[in-house]
Amino acid sequence: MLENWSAIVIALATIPLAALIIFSLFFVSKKTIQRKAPAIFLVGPSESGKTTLFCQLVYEKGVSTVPSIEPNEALWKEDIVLVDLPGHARTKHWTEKKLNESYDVRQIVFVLNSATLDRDLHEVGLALFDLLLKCRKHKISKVLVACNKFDLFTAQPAKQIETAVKKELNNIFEEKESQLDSIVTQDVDWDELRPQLEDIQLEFLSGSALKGTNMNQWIEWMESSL
Amino acid sequence: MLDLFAIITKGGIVLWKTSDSAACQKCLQVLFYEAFLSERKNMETTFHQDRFTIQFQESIQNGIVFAVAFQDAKAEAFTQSLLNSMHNIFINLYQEQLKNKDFPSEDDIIRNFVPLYNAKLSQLSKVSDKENLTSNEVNRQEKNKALPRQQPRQKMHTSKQAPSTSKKGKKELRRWDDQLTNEEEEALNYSGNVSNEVPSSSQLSNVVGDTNFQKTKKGEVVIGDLETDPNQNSATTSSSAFSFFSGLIGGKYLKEEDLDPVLKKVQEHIVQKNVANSISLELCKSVKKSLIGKKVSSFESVKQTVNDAFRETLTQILTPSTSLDLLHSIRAVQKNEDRPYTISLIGVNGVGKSTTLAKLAYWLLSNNFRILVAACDTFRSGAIEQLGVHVKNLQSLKGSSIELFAQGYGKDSSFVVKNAVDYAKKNSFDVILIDTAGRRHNDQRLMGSLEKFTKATKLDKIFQVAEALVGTDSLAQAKHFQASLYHRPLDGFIISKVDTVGKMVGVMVGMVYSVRVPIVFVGVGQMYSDLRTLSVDWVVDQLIK
Repeated sequence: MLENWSAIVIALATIPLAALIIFSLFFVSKKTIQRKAPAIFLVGPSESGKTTLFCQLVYEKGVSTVPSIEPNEALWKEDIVLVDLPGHARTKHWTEKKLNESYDVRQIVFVLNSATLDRDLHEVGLALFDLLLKCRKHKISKVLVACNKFDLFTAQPAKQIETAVKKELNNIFEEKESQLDSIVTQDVDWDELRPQLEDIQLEFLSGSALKGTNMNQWIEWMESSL
Repeated sequence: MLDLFAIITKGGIVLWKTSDSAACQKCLQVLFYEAFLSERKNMETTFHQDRFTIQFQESIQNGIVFAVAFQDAKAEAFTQSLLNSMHNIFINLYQEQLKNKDFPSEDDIIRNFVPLYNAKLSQLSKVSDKENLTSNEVNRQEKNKALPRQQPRQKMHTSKQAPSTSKKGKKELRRWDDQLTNEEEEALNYSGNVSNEVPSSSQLSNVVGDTNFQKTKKGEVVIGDLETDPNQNSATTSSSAFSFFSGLIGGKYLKEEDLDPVLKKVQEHIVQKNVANSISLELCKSVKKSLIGKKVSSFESVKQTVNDAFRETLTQILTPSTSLDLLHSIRAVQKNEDRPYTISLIGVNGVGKSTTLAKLAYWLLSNNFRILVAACDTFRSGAIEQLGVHVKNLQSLKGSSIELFAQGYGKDSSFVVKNAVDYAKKNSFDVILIDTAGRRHNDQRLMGSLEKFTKATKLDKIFQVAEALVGTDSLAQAKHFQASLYHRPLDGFIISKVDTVGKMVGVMVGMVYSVRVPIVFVGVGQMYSDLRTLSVDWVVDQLIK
């Protein structure tokens, strides 16, 4: 009688156990598909050439582009995912979304338009500032600033861009300190935040995504940090 | 006839286009900016750039946009059907690749897709040419018919003139009953010239149109199917036994029947949070449009997807497209132009303009600017004294770099503001904060005087103050104030008394959505430090939860 009872109890127990095992296997298999793939993100203001750079790296040819609305993703060099994020202000939510997804963000490339930097310096500064905040959040310690479109007539050399952008970043830091708090106090202590942001290394290199010149500099940087 | 046909991914890559000219490239840029990135979430599919008309169609599932641009108005007749058929053909040709999120290369498209495109284009342009010819002929036929008509009309005129000429002789008796004279009857008979000629083939083709008949194997003629809308989902309906699982689990394409009940619930939810009813309906429409045909990922219910889509839409609406860095603008004006920076507050009665002005002054004083407060509310008794109390408080708090400029009651406010600017320039003040009288937005006379006020001097920023407690009137307020400033847009909203409404902050969405003006500041109390910037995530959280 007792053996029968134990046999019945064991039999009853195996059914939910089996179901649990199958379910967890299914879940784990889903998770492994969503395992964090190493990724490089291309960010920057609108019209700077991110999508063109993306196509040069992935398809190795120049294509004509329009302002992106959604991100582009593709595999590069066999195992890295390259993500090209749209730069327009109305598409900012994609950046946060992609950063929070299952990517192991190894590097970020900030693309800017060297030819129109005089006019857009403040915007570029703000975009770079936002990026630095995100880098700090996701523990990324260096950023490549790709000074694109350097084949154009009004393009500035990388050194000049570096000084201008760093100066603008400084101004922005000062201004942010004196801004109002948001309606949600974010527990941000500017005094300790600022040195962390300044610690993030910025490397300024010129090139042209459309013409493909100087791209090996950028590719070298990207490969070296992996 | 068609200047441009292009296939573009939503990621910004042009897969194929028929023309490489700079004008066409500009058309595509304008299309993407206006349709997807502009302040207005447009529902229309036609845009204009120079002399081009641009139309497009989206494939939401695959993230592709098909666009045409043309200058010739005749092309408009067939562009819609061209877009439809090209959309269908492309999706069918590259179904496999698109499922893997892989786009065909340009060579591939040129090889397989372009011949189909050329064939369809020539077919459609031939049809429209034929239609043009037949319409010309029909016009001529109509002109022929018009001529015999004119004769009875002339007869009617002569019959009318008849009694007047015979007035000289004897008076003709006026007939007051409803019977017509023979002459009048003939004049009103338009059925003349009924010819028994056989209608020509061109006239017939005008009536018959494109036949959609198909022949079955037996030789019967059956009516063809409606050309399917390419954006309709192609998922097969699951049997009823498992349908409620699929409702929970997802992994299917969204249909209208799935979306409607969920959308209705969300709409009611946000209406309870003080979003105006018309705004909530528009939001639901745009969310529905963006979700139909979209694939729901597994382990996500329909409700979750709709909630996420709503979140995204609300975030997009509330996020300003330019940075509202007031300090930076003030410093830029200080550096480049030698004049004080003017900020003016307008709004209806009792929203908190004077209080908000004091809060702004407190903040700007903390940034070491010299402030002049201009009392342009020359109407309400005690307005100037109220500002005087604030200025005195701020002086004792922050030192004497703040002053009040007032010229008494009953004066014209544009006059006062001009004097205030001159005074500020003379005494090198950095910022002028201008308080105006509260006015009902539907009072024409007061809105007119506001217009005059804003034209009197160069105002760098005009902010409208609105309280979070107001209901649907907020939309009308925003629209009327924006309309009265037609020569320059409102620079921003300041929503006051947000601490009184708790979660019901829906008025922010309504105002921003209706006039596309961002919210600059938010007031959360009656003390000088109760001024905050807007956190879009917080507002969206309050609305969705």
